[in-house]
Amino acid sequence: MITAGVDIGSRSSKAVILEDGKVVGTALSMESHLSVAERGQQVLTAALAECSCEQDKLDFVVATGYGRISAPYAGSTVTEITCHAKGVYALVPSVRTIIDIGGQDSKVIKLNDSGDVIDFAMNDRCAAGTGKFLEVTAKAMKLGLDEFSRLFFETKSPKPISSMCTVFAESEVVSLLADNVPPKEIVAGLIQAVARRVGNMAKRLVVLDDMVFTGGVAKNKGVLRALEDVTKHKFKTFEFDPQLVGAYGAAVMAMEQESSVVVKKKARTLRSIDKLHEALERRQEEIVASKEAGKKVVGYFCSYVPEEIIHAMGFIPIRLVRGGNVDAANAGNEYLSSNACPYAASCVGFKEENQDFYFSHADIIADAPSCYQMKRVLEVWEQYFDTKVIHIGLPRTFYEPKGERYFIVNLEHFVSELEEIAGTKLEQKNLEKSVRLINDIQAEQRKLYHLLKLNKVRWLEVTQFMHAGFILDKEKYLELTRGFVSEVNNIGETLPELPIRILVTGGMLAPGDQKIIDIFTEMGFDFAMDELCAGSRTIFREPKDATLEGIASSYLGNVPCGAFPYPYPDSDPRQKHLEMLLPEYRIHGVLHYTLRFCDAYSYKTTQMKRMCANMKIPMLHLHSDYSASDKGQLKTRIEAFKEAIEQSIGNTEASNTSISNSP
Amino acid sequence: MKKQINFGMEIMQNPHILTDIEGFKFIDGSSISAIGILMFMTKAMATYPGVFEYRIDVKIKGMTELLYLILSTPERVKKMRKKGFKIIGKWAINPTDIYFGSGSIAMDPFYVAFCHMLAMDTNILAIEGRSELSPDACPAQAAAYAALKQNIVEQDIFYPFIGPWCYDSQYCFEALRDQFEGFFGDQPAIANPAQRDITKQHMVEEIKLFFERVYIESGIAYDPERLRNEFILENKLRSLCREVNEIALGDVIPLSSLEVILSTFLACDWVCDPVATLSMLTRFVDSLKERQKNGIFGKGVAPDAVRLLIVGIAWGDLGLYNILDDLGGFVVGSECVMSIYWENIDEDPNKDPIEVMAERFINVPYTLSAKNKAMWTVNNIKRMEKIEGVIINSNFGCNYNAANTRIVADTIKKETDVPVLTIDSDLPKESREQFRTRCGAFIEMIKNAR
Repeated sequence: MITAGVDIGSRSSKAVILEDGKVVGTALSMESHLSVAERGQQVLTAALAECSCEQDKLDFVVATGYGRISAPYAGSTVTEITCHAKGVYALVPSVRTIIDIGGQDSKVIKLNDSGDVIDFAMNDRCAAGTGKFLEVTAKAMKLGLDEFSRLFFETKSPKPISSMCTVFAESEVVSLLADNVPPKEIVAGLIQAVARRVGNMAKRLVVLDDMVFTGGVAKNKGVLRALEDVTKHKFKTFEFDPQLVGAYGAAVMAMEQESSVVVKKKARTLRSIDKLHEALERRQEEIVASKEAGKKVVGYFCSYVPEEIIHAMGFIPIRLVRGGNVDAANAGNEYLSSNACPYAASCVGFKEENQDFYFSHADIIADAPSCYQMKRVLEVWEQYFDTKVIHIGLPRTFYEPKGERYFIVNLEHFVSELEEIAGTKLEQKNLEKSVRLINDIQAEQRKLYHLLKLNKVRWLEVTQFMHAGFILDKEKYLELTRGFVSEVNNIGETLPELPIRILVTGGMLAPGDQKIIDIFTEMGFDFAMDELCAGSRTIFREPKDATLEGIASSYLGNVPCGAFPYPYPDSDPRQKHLEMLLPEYRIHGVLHYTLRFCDAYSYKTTQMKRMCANMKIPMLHLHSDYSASDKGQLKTRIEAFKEAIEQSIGNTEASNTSISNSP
Repeated sequence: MKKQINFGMEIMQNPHILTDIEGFKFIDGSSISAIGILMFMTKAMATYPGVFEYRIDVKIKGMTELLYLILSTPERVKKMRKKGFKIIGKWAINPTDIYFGSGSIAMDPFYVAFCHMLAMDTNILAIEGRSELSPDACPAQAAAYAALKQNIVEQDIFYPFIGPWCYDSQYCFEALRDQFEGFFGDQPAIANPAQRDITKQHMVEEIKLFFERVYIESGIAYDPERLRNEFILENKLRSLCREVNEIALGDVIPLSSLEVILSTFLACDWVCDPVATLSMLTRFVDSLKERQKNGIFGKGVAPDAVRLLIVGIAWGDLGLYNILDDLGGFVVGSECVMSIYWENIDEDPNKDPIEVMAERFINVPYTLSAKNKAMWTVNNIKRMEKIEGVIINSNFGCNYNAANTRIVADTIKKETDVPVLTIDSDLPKESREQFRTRCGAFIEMIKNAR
């Protein structure tokens, strides 16, 4: 059996040919003027030439690396994380930790006794701690990479390099050279900077004794020594080019190739979904007509705004939730700062750019922001868009009685502000009617998520309804949701169990923020459940009495937004809620999604990781924004996550397939 | 960067300057002699090399003591813990009176850890902190996280009042909740004047709960007299800090930008010891007055220096203040700390100190709405007539304060004729070249317009 592994990386391409498991041909190319597809083909041809083998004699080819999708001759593609694990395990079976530093990525991969990936960490999208960092700084010093390694060992006084950003490090190097700092000290400082960066990543995964170093940078003895110093562990050595390990692993995988099973999203036509789309299409005209008839639109961002009160006062409540638009985020950054989370920035940008009907047609903004970045958004609307903004004070200590009292007084203030605008008083009978309506809507939404649990509907169908609820007329929306639940129940069809069930949680995944969802969908995933602000989080509120006390208690008693910090580790209500959802929805893996500059959720990553580890459920943290620049890296991480889940559920699938029918 | 005589070189060349040191008493009743400080500082040249790179004038009386207080904070905190004092983690904007007035020690880990990192001359704490928290974490958050986790900086519990300023610090404490017991107090934002009374009442309840919990933790019951006495002590400190800013506005500028910052930044939490800080700061201010009377300018400060006000967050990279002086500028003050000592707390014995404390919390200028905060800045500029330019700085990763930069800058431009430069900064030493170009051009522009 002859197989090949082709690793098309960002800086180099590699190929390995195996004949009955034995390496018979290898090739490495640093060509960069060729297209990605040409680079892969070129290196494969070179490796085949080495063993005098024709390409059509190959039984199977696996492609890996960034350019893997551009390898038409490959029978399948696998991430470099899995390939490195495979390759290393085949070479040194006792290995449990791999540090891989390539041109664009640095990774730490943890293996179990069987060589399966059980955890991994990667650098963020910046080039700090990668081969590129060394390449750029070596160029700034007019040194070859070989000299870099040699100079490291010539000094014991490394000059600390403070910049981990490749661009700033380059200018720092130039400044140090201008200050006559000896090049060897600068080189040692640069190498130490890389080692610290990657070593810290390794420490997070708890480094085990059996550790190897792979990737192009592994040839740099200086980095190797510095990494050993940082991790306080010696690397195991092996007789194989460390740069070719990924391609070797791909060739090994080609030998044992099994196609992964994915269930494509089943497309089905439901009359109630068509009706929902029709209602959404008509909504803008309805709003224009209502406004002409003298009604006012009260827009709000945060889920802590009691829409019952807005509705009872005769205003049109519209929740302004939209993301995923780079232009809107950039426009918003001009008012906030480049450090603003892209969602918060978009909440300004959509208004500024007049890009969204609902943002443009809000007469009044009322908000109770749990996130203080959103408080700044309100201030910008007030200052620059001449909009009446009603601030509703929300207690940070939502879990204490005094917090609830504070919220009640703020709701009283909110009512009086609305009464002043409307010129009428809030009537109890109207409040009762609106509270009943919203309670009924939430009861229907709970049914949607119950159907999701039963595999009667898919998550993308449920979220369409959840998102439509932000915009549509409340009575109409209740009718449509009831229609959908009824239609699904009448059909009685149970959809196939998803082979991989993922719960998505974290910060704001707003309607329009499709990047992550699209990548998962393209890869054959369908989410099994969410714990999101624009998703299921709001449906768990207790039905409320038609009093401000009842409303305050219901909103504050709900699963809290992560923007509220919680000091007690053993009783964290959001974590408890997640711990309940994971088994209930038979979850195999958790996606913790955070937006850049959303510290509220990204700082919680370690906690999330610990919770998932305790429940023995793999977790993937993706930290991103609305740009497309990191799509390739996200795909790699998601694929590796998928592979890790497939390995972890392989033997336990049968016990995981029971479905609860209890309501 | 032009070569300068730094603090370390000056001490080596003129060791006698360290003899003009005075010892002082600490909050725990112990004391340190001048010899003790001298020995610490001599040893510090090896252990804290970062500080000795800066240009600092130790001929100003109290300066060496000030550096001692900053450098020794982690060590002193550990000693106080051993003596049974409760160390409570808070963040900069929380008035310290409530903590010291409860018989505990206030400690701002963001400030203490960042100073420690600067003194060690490495960004490693911030880099380590970011690797766990987020690549977007502000450097002070990241450094504090790593320092607390590694027990470089110690606390018994955290009890910040979380409110509208440093939005991220609450999540930093939360991320450490498995390691440290703690609580959050609410410091709500006043959205409009109609909510003032509601907010104040909520704050009063928060403060009462704080004292109840501190009693459980430390066994020290709430005593209104202790709290009021703390107001009186810290009012003296606040007055001295304001005096530093006033002196910096005089015709003769007797200290450098860095010395303005180092002295007034004590307001973060009085380096965990208001008693010692009072001794040092009194001596320091007296010395400045003497120098001003004798026409002595601060080291590196040009007689025609462009006087600048820092708005937003002051630079964590202390070397930037030396650079700014070299460029012909001079920092009169930084608003973020002025926001802590801008006025005294009411000492009226007929008023309930908890009510007074609540009033203080909800009136800290940097916690006001962007519009009101911007007008506070405008009033400061108008009051400090010699201010010729404003630099608004924000830290990379700052999610909240940075987000009002536009409103503040636009308001200043509308209400005053003072030019505004907006910049941001990150890890120490990382972007000095960009800083030099932008601030240099700004100062040139102001000088050309004179």
